[in-house]
Amino acid sequence: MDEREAATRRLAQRHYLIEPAISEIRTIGSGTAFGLNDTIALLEVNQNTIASGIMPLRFDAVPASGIPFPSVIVEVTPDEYEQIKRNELKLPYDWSLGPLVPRANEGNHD
Amino acid sequence: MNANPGNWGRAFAKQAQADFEAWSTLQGNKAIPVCHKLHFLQMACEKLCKAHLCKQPGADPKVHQSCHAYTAKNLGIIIRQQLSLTPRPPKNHEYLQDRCNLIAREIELLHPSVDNGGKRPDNCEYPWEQGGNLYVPATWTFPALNLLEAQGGRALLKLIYNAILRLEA
Repeated sequence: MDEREAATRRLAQRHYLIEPAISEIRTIGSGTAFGLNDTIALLEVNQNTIASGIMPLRFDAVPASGIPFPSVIVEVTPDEYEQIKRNELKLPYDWSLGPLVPRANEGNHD
Repeated sequence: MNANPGNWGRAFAKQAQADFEAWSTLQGNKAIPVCHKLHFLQMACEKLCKAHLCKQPGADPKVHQSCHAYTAKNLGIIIRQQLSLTPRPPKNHEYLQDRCNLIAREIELLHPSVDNGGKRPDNCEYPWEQGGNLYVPATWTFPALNLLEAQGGRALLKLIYNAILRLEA
């Protein structure tokens, strides 16, 4: 596991812990424009959020807190998530859904 | 400052800091109506959210400037990130996150253009009519946003302010 992958899992686990209404976190992969190289990019499915489309929020790296890469968070409702999976709601910049980052207590993380 | 995404984020954060500190300065002045104090808090939170939206390469800051319905969706994400990056997060972080989601919606409703489909016309700028009665912001108490006395309120305010300062670094 490389450093970015480790930081991605670390940040996702903290988000799961703080917001129990998050049912699923997946990484986001980049296409051609506005790539996500050296960035942690997470799509978070939150039952408590508002349906308002895709709004990527960007955060700076905080190495002192174990997150040495900038991060991008996209939060969606479960319904929006289903629309994304059916390709009815598109992620911007040719981004695509990456692997699931499971909760730490849900078994194998690799 | 060049107009790149990082600087747009810093510019929104700097203005958010000024708004937040204006809110803070007014707290001790009982002659100032609650609506004016909350107006600064609403603007600070809105700009904090827009700062993170504008930092994303490819985002159009002009699109974000004209809309005011960002706080309810995004303030909770920012507070979650802030709690995630705090070396020793408060033990009641789950409670704070839950409170934040409720308060973020109340803050967003302070803007006159956000009224939950006409169900929440109360706002901190213009008089409104509800149930045949007329209300004035300057005499309204906004009980849902008495954050300095509400449980978890002060912790949330600190998290908001620290999130603003982190963006300016």
